[in-house]
Amino acid sequence: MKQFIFQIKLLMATSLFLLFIQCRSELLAGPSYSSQLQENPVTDSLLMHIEKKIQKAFVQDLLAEQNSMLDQLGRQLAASYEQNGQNLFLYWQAYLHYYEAIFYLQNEQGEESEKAILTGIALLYNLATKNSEDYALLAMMQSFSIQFVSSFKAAGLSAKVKKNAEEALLLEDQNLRAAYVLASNDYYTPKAFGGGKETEKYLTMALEMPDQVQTNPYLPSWGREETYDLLIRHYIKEENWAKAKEKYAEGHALFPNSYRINQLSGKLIGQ
Amino acid sequence: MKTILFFLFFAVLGVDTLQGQSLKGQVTDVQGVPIFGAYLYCIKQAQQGTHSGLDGTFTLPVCPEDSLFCSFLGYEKQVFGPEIWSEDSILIILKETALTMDLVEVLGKDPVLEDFSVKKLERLDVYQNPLAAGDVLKALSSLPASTTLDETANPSLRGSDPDRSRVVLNGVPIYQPVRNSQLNGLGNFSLFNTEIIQREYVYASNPPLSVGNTSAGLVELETIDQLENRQFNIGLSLANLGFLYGQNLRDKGLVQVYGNYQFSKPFLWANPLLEGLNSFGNTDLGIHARYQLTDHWATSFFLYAIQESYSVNVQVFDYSGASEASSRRLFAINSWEWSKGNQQLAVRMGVDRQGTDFSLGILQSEGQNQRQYYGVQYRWWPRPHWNVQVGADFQAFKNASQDTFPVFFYAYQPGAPLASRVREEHIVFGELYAVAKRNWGERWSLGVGSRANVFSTETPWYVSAQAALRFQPKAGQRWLLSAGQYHSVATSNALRAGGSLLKSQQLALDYEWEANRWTWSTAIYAKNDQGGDPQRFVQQDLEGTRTWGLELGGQYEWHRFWRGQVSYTFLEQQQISLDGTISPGPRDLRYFIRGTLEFNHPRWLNASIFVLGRDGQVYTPVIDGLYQPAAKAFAPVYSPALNSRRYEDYWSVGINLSKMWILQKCRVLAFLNVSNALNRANQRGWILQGNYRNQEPDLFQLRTLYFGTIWSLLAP
Repeated sequence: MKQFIFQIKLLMATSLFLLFIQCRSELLAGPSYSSQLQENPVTDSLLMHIEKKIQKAFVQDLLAEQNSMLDQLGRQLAASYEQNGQNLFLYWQAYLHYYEAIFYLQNEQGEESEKAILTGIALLYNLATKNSEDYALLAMMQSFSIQFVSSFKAAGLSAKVKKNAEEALLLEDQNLRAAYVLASNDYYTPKAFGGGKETEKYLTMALEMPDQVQTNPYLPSWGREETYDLLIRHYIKEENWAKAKEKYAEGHALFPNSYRINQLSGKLIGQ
Repeated sequence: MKTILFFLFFAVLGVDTLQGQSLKGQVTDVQGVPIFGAYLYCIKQAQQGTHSGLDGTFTLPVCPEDSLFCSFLGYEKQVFGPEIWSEDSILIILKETALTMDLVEVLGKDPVLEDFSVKKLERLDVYQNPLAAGDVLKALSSLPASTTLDETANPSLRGSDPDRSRVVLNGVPIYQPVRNSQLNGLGNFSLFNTEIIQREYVYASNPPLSVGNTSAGLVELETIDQLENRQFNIGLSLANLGFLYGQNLRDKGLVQVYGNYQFSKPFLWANPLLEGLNSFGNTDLGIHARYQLTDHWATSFFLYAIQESYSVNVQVFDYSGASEASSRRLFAINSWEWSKGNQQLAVRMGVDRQGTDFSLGILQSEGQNQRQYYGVQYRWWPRPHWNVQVGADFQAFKNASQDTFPVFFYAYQPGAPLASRVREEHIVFGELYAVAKRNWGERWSLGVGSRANVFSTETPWYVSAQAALRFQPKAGQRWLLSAGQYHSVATSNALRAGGSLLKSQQLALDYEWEANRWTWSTAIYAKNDQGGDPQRFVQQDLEGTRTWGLELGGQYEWHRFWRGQVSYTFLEQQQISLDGTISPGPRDLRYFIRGTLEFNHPRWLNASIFVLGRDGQVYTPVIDGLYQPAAKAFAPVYSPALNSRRYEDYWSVGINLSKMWILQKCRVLAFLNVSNALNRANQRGWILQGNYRNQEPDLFQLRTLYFGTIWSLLAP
């Protein structure tokens, strides 16, 4: 179990670093976050490409070492939800809390990170009816929260992650993010507890799914880059070098600026 | 489900005149709530699309002779033909996808009134429970609601006799669900292998009326429907050699086979303090299978056979000698489930046969018991937040015994007067029931139910009814208010024939607050039980018992590997005799305290220590003995004040240690348990000797040591 928790921590730390590097390069190349916000007053346009907005706010905050942009965006989302009552605002609030949790963890504020992730989980958990994306994000956030629970609850929470991700796939069998979360949960479950057997199956499934079942700038599209990253690492762990290189080439072609994929090249050289 | 489309006609225009115009409209759900972000576009010109705004409105350039596509996450996608462009304003009402999907797949796995269970335990919870020793029924003993006082696994919940509660496996009642149930202190494990159980729901009071014949609590066990991995386990311990094999059947089902051979010599050698126990043993075999026959049909099957025996030296009144018992039991349960869309139909059957032999002094008894259960249930979700279940149950008991027994209940010694009898009883009854549950989001749910017998060979007509309201103010917090009137039919035992009607009226308020690191629970309840056993040997028939209780429980986790739990139970119970006399009830407890401290480090060690402390049980003292020449023995003279005395306080400390290793392709678990580690002399009765003026305490188990190992083959 300790190994399991250590692996999750390692994954989080690595992901944080890679996300930071990648987003930082995007941020430097693109318009500033504050100018974007001015262009997007609190209307329905707030949700236009909201996923990218949250990611960029996260990087902005990491650079500034304060949680102001995420907080500002979060307050806008909360106010919009109060006005309109659309569950979609809650989804993005939860997604924002996920990034807040990562931010706090990066700044070694474990308790704040735990609070943020639990707030996000509660938002989704309390939804009267959940759609496939709600379940997928809920599962991913619960997976993140495993690092904060005791060894008594870790296995049970992992089972909840699996159940919610399966629910997401049941509701929408082409949900890439659900398949990714299932794979991730399996990858980080120790073999002694039955993990590691379905990682490849779910990641391969995920890659065959579209980023979005219904093309929509208001809806989530994350997951493909993460899927390539995890699949390459899975093949490296299994020492299946041919497949690792094949997926690396595919992932690199799709995400040439992805630091998390690019940094894996070092492990493939000479194999 | 079909999308409802309302056309609001404002103008009728020819298609050829539409070029350059736009279509306005609004997208809402069936409740009229605007849907924000719905995607609308012309199929042949996908780039010519738009999204609905916050108020659900949209404006889309007209695409003559093209179709309009409208979609949003979680709702049915819709395509409208070219005629749509002849409107200039439309209202599109989308229905949630959830209504069209197989609701049974999502919601049908849990019992209809599962919201109203006091505790839901997963298999892992059972294994992690320090008091459970890995047993699904022993796991209940850690709950504040458990009032089991005899150290067995047979559950007593909130002060009621175990005979009033019911244990059901996949909806089929399993009577006498513990091994060696005839022997005090040895029936401490259930008949169920925890590896076949997915989860258990504990209804400490107000049992859901979807299950019948319970007038106290209910333990609902569900077998697993899918294995994480292939299983192959071998266990060897101080008193048991067992195996389990399980595998999935092509993603459509599973099969599990297990067996145990229990022996007593090493255990008795390692536990010299267990005086009086000569031998015990059993051999059992279980087969569990589930298979998805088609998209809509599934079946599950569980077969269990056990042969068990024991020999123990006892002192009963003036007689001292060996008591021997053996039993052979076979039961099978089978269910067939059909599900489609938002409907589920299930047929369940159970057959249970048991043969018993028992001897104590001049008492010799041979018994044959048969129980049959047949049930059919129909479950329907008219909406995801609505659930209705109706059904019918039929149960038949046939109990036959051939006994030679002492004419005087206190004279077991050879030479005492004997009598013999052949007893056969048939109890048959059938019931109809209906239960319904309505959810308002995650916060509120209301459940109601009613059950009535439609025929019975023994009992009068009765109707049970209940209501339960659950409120969840925020994630982790839960209030549950439940009330109802319940009936069950008493099973037969050595003291009386079965078939009498037991009735109970119950009111309970439960509260639970579960945070990330701690959990707090409180319950207060009152119940009025009518009917029941007379107190043993005291010839007083009972009208019933009145009980009220308070439960407080807390759990806290710290430093990732530590957990502590503590609970307090107060239970005031009065029993009312037919002549109106009121005396303390058999489970009247001023305090029942449970405490556990656990350390769980998967790599190092799993260690726990637990403490149980409670009032000694009340009893009616024997104040004298009168020699009866006809019986050639002393007859006990009981105090007229029923349950006027109390045994010494009961305290027990237990220690559990376990450690897991991975050895190549095996997972090895070694465990050690010490029960009553401080070797406290806890009293459960009196040994009456001679003229009964000399009495010695009859004790619960003294310090007991148990250890073993389980080897599990890791699936490739």
